[in-house]
Amino acid sequence: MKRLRIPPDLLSWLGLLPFLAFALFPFYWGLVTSFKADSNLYDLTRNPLWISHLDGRTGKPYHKDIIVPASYREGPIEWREKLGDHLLRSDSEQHPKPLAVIDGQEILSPVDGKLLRIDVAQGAIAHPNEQIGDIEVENPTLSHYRFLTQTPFYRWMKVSLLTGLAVVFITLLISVPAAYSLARLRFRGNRAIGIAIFLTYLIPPTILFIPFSQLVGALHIDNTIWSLILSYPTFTIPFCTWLLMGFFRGVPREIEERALLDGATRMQMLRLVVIPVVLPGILTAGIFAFTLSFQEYVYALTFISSTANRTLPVGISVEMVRGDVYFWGPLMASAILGSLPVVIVYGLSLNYFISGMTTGATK
Amino acid sequence: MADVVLDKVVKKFGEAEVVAGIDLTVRDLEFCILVGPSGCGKTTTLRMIAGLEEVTSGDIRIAGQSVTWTPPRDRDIAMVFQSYALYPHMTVRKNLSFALELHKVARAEIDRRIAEVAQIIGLTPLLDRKPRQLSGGQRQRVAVGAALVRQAGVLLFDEPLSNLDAKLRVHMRTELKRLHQAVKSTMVYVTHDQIEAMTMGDRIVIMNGGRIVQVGTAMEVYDHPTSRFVAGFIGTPPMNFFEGEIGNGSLALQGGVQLPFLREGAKPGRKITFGIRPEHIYLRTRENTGRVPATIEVVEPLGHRTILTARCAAGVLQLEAEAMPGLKPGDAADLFFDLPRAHLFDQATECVL
Repeated sequence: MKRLRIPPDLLSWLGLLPFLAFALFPFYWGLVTSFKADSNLYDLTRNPLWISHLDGRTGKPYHKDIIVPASYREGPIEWREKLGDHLLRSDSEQHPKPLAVIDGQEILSPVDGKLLRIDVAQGAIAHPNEQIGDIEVENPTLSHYRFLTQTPFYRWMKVSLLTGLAVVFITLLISVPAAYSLARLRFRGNRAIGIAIFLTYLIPPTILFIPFSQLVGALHIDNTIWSLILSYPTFTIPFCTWLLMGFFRGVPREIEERALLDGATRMQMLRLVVIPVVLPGILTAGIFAFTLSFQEYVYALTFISSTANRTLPVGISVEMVRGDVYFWGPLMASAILGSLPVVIVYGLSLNYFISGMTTGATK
Repeated sequence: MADVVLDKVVKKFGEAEVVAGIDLTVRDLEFCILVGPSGCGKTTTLRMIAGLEEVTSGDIRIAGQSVTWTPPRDRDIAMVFQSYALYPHMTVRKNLSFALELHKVARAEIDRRIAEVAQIIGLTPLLDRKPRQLSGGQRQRVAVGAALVRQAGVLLFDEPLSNLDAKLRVHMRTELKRLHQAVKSTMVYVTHDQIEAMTMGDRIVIMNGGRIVQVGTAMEVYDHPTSRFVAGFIGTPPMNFFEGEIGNGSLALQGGVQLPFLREGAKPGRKITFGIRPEHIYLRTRENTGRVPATIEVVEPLGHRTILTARCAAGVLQLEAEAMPGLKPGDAADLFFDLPRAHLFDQATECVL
């Protein structure tokens, strides 16, 4: 009798699948949403997890009526676009082109799509509230991504990136020596300080932001990027120090001793032997510091009030939600674009994470 | 010239005295072995010579210079660690050149020395590998090589063979001994393995409880142990010990075993420990032997010899017989103790009589 053998590859994929589904589902949904035209997005008859070209109620492609706004005067219509011409959603353009003009008043396209039908012929009189044509909606669409160019999105991205990099720099500058001292050097109060550092990390930022905002005000750095660069290390340094302590403890003591015997001073030993060996750890700490500050919300919301200086998470959630209206498309588009820097940083350093540099040092 | 002198060296960790005042002179170019059970202070002693542990009191001199407070890098010593301590992020070549570069040795000289050492210990094909790509034995060689290129006056070894498998260990033992003849360095070698100690060293320093208990060549400490500890520590299988008392012209061992007493001058009634090595117990009578009836319990043939475990009235003992003694477990046999080669130790002081 032949026994059914499950290939080990298949087995590990089966084990991974629930995790992948759980971890990747939000990204997937966000990605799908960011490419969906609004008509499809708000069509409740359609599967929300997939992009559909056809309207669930009519079975035909999504379309958008072109109606003269009620506030317009009536007048002769001058079509600027022909049947079948491709239209771009006007609020995603710096200088939107009108698809038609009625007595000097511009008719703009509310969606990406194709001019499907013209109801009021060139030169005929168009009235307010009258349907003058129809647009076939383009789906999927890049309009949400283009819309971001009309918001301070890239400005927020720059603020977030700059803050993140500055915080990483400050954090590593302070955490690396601190972690080494706590992990390796013997001195009084060594353990107590280690535990105290860990405890500071446990204080939630939601408690700290009130005294911090006083401090930020006193230093006159409110509403500037410096308020974030100086306050984020208060949680990244304890976390990274704690993390790095583990990495430094993992360095075999003998290789430090050998370096000393080999003629190195303590600083040379650190620079030439210890730091290179814990480089994966330092990189990990740096990425954590970057991620933590990149996604921070409470401080960024409180310390910065001008639209231009906001960070990405705050900017998105403040500017792309108006009252109870959520701009789902642009929200998801900015969430996807906003996670790219972190994805890129992780991707570039993945090899370091898994290299397991210390294997082979001893035994 | 690089002799190493320890002068009343003491090391305390808090209250615990790990090294309790030792005096030792390792002569220039000597291969000196520090051996003892774990916790005897041998590794701490080595680390004090290296400068990795501070000396609590006493003085250490290398080549006539006191180095007690000299940092490790200025002591002209190299060390091979038990765990090899290779730099994981550097290639073998870089591991070898690291110390030389720190000492600002000229590039050409570095290359020459690395080529030479790699040749001696068979590392040439491995020079561009990283430590993680090497086997345990190869890493061990790199560690030795990294110490050799230094051409330091003193080479320290901290149980360098204990992580190798048995076969490789025997091979490296011979190799290290050969190396010692080739390099002009004083070597101090720490081990807990008495066979390593016996086979490798010019001189063996036996330590116990933070003190040196005996110093001598392999044969000196084997044939003339000065204490019961040394007698029991050196030799495999170990020496057999029986409690007893000196009588009038006889020795009364535990269990009523009586042996003729052939030595002059010892007071009758003295409590002693009688020690005899397995190879000094025979199955046939010879001159100056004492007969002890026994029962064979275990027979362990080694090929060229056979180890017998037997029970006599005084207790269990082991002896070494010729290859095929024709005995099996349960057999009764008369054993003959070679009395002139037996050792007597005072029960109270454990010193040899």
